[in-house]
Amino acid sequence: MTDNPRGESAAEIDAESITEGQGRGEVLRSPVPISFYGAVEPDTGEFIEDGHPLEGENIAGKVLVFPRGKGSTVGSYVLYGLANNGCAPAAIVNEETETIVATGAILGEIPCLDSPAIDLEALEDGETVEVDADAGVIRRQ
Amino acid sequence: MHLTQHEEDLLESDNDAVRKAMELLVKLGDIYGAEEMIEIESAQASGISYKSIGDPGVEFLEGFAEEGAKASVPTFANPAGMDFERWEELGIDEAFADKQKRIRDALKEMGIVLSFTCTPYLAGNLPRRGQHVAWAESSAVSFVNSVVGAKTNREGGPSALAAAITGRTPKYGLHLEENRQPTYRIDVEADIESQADFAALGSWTGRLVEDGKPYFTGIDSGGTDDLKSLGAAMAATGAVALHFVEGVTTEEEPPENVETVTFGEGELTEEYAELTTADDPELVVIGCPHCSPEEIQDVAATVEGKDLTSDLWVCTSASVKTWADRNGLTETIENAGGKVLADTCNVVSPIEELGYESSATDSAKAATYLPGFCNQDVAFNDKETLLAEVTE
Repeated sequence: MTDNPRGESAAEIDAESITEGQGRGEVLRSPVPISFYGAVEPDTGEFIEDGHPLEGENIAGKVLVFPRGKGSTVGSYVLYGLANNGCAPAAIVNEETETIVATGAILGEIPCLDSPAIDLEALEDGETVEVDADAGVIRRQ
Repeated sequence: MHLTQHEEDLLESDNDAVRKAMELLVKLGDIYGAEEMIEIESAQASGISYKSIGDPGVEFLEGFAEEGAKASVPTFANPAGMDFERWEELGIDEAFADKQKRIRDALKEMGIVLSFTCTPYLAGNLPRRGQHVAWAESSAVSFVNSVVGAKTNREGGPSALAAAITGRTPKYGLHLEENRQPTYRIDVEADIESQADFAALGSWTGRLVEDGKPYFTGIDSGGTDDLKSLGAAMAATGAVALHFVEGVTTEEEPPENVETVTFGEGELTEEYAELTTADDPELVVIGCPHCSPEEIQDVAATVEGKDLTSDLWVCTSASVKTWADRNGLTETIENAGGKVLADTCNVVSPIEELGYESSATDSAKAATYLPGFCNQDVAFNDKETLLAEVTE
């Protein structure tokens, strides 16, 4: 692949590490922020918030891409619960990881990156990527 | 961030909870630009009511306890969703009570003091001036920063717990002296007399200054209860964690080069109206933040020998309630038809499930939260006026 200035088709995309670890999966992207409390079932990973672009999807095992967290701080506990129940996303990629998502990703040991060198829109739903939070890169497969 | 050898060791701990707690603090420190950690003398954990944290919170606290989480400094718990002794009598659902008891048991497992109060400084956890602590309850944060002179940021539930486990917190924000200076000046021209007047001044100011640090002039006196109400209100309508009252909490001269506004009689009257949406409350609640012994004495003196025409909750810590019991204040209040409750309050208990639709309070913090958290219409006024309206 060519490496252009926007990095849109680069095989490796640089990003900032929020947590540690590596996760691989299909991209599931939300164009809008996520409030995990009340939006995601902690024991299944099902996205249940009425009217949200991800309503009806399941985030378990996916590389969940969204701009940032919002809403109740209980959202951190939902991410921890998802991880304990084996239903966590394989990894999280944000524009900016705020404290609710950062806290949940650390407690749930979910690989998490932010500030990628491309626009989040460039990551397409369904494409398989590897998120390496140790190295701070996203690898397109 | 610079970490000591001990802190590096915590990051590599075999204890999962310790390792995650340290990782969380390091990451939060990175986000907020801390250069190092600072050791804390005490912690105070929020997110204790089942109503607030739900099943995800129960599972987190139980899971964290199982992973080996233990408080390493004195750590007090915020109010729960019910009085642990009297929940059945109050009509709390058994399923709710079971979940709340699981939360209590997880906290006990972690070595957290089962204080269940938002006023730990009245119940056995009083830092001293200059100490660093990691507290989460917003009104208590305001009190210890502003009145006591200890230093804490407004922690969240997990970050306060992580601080409790590791005994440290990232050094940023209000832990740094340069961030503890006034950013607004409020010249108070209204007569601030009752505790509710302090509360109304607080809710007006919080809305104006948001997360600023107001300096008040023109307040001649203020007791512990008054300052508790003022700080609680500013932390509810804004995110104020530190304030100054000339001649009461600080000897420093009023700031010159900050935005200055005046709070007059008109603002005071308007603020009472702003906080009031009901005229016939079904439940009167005193004790947000939790009552001191003096406040319970005041309530008892007002209702002694009378009959209440609406329900009355007087909310406090189990420690202060013990004193109220011994001095006969609880009996006086309950003979009039009220209840003195420990461990909880009207905001974090499920009062909307108990059939209440309208509440009266002398707390601007409660008046701010009750409509959203508990679907209540609210009447805001001082204790004496509220109690006079419902006694015969």
